[in-house]
Amino acid sequence: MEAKDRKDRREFLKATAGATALTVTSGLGLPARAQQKTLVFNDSGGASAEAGKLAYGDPFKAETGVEVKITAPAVVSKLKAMVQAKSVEWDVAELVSQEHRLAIREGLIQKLDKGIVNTAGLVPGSFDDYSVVFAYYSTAMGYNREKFADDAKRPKSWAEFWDVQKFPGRRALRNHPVDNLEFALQADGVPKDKIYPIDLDRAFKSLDRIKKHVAVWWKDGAQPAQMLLDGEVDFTSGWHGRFYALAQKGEKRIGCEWTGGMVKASWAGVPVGAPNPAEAMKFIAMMIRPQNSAKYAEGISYISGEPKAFDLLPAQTKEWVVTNPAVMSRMVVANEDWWLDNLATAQQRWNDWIAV
Amino acid sequence: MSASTRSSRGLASPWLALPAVAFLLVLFVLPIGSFLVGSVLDPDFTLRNFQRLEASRAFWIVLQNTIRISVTVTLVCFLVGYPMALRIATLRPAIAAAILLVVVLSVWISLLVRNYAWMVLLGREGIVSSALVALGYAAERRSLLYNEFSVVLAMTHVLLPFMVIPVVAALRAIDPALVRAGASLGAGAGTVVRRVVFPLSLPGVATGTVLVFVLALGFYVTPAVLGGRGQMMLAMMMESEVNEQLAWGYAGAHAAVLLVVTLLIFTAYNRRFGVDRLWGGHGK
Repeated sequence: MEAKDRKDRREFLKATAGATALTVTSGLGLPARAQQKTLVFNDSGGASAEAGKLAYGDPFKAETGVEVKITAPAVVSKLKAMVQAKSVEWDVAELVSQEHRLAIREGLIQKLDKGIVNTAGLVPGSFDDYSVVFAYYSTAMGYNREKFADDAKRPKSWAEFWDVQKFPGRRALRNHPVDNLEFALQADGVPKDKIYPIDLDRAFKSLDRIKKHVAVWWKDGAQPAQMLLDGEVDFTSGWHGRFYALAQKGEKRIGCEWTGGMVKASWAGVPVGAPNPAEAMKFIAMMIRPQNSAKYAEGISYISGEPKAFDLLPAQTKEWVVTNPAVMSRMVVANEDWWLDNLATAQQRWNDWIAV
Repeated sequence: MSASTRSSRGLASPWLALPAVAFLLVLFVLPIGSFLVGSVLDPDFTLRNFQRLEASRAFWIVLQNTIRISVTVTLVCFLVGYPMALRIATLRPAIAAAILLVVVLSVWISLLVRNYAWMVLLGREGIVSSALVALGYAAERRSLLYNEFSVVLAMTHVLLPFMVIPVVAALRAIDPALVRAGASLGAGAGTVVRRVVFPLSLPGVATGTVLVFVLALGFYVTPAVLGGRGQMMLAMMMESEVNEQLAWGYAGAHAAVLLVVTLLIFTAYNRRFGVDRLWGGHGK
């Protein structure tokens, strides 16, 4: 049923693409430059960019005739430099988690045209005046299924991840305060709803316990999945889309434990001074449209706050999407406000702690 | 040097240097200058960034790591690269060119690929660990990654060409008659290398060590991907300040300290080995 729907949609897209091609060819008499408009969408690259091309880039071209160029990586510093230099290359920018608050605070993105970007159907918290969430993602615990044929032997919470006696094995964590402090508090017995505001002293004390048992502190998003496959570590934190992307390709060895994982959000906004703001608004409107958002999720398992998008997903992908209530209820939603105010302090403290 | 060549050089050199000067000014001095100036402006003059730096324990540890790793890599590059260059310089030109090509070829491969290759080789289930177990040198498979060894090894792999190429060039510039003269006066091969070849190749060694050391100071990917907690280097720290915290002034302060430390090390090195004299004297 769902497969059929998708097929119909593909046929429809092909037809619209054909129609657009016709209009474009019939307009060949016009100066070529008028048709060469290109919209630049800057995202995290890699698997995200592949999913973004299929879900947003190609359909947008089919609908509007505007070419979409996807660039990477999504770093707020480059956005700031471009806005300051009044030479902005991006029309639509991905802003990861607390960075989107930072971008708003620093005046780097403009207000959305709500006449074009309809946020009425979105779940609360997945939009504001400046941006919308197009990709809820998470940091969860990945593990090597082969090593844990007996499921009872693998840690199923961060408290168990911290318990090196009961759950021996090589561990990895991220070399960053983000994606760690909340896990450390859970490991120390803090209930999920009492995590924020984070008690830094308590979090670092908890981290002290695990510090020398962590074999690898990962820095690059590709590392966790790679280390699991190489047998370098037995369990690790990681961005779950990387695990999903491998599972989609038939890799059976990687498992994902959601319990206590961090739900986070990637936002889309239009930079101040973007070259094509009108098209950018249309592009963002499309990113949260159910069909496109669902298509994106099929590629990378990250989804918008549009409930109808979730309904369109194949059953197999639903299991990997954090807006799935069965997944979400086991996780912690990252508090972007806390991180906005405390990132610098936490980072400094982390650097001091990790280097010693 | 005759008067005529000196005057023709005097006329030509300012104009010949112009593109290079313009290039350095626009792409090097201006951006670095504004970055460094930013470390003391916010928006008025302030030393806050430097005070924060002084109080940061992590900064001093990471600075030590950076210098220690860079010095080690430079030494290893010299110890491995010099004999290699000596051999290349004495081979027949065709074979030497082929070997040099292999050395240079590795520079064409993406840094990330070269680093991930070491992860495959040195990992817990990698070929090295498996071989050690199979040959009975180790009781169980263990990872050789995420320590100083893996970082120094991978950085040496990346930086070795920057040592080998200038040393080969310097060795080739040595007049073979001097080597023959040394031999004919009764010196053995070892003595000729030690007392004739090596001193004459010092300009190349100086170039190589300075290149390798300076490039090593700025390494980011290799320590991030192959290092452990003890191998955190300055570029990693600055990356998080620039990209995530937008604390450019603070990152600029890091850069300023690194620049000063580098210049101090270079000055000391120059005093000891007279690098500028070597370069100046390399007129062949």
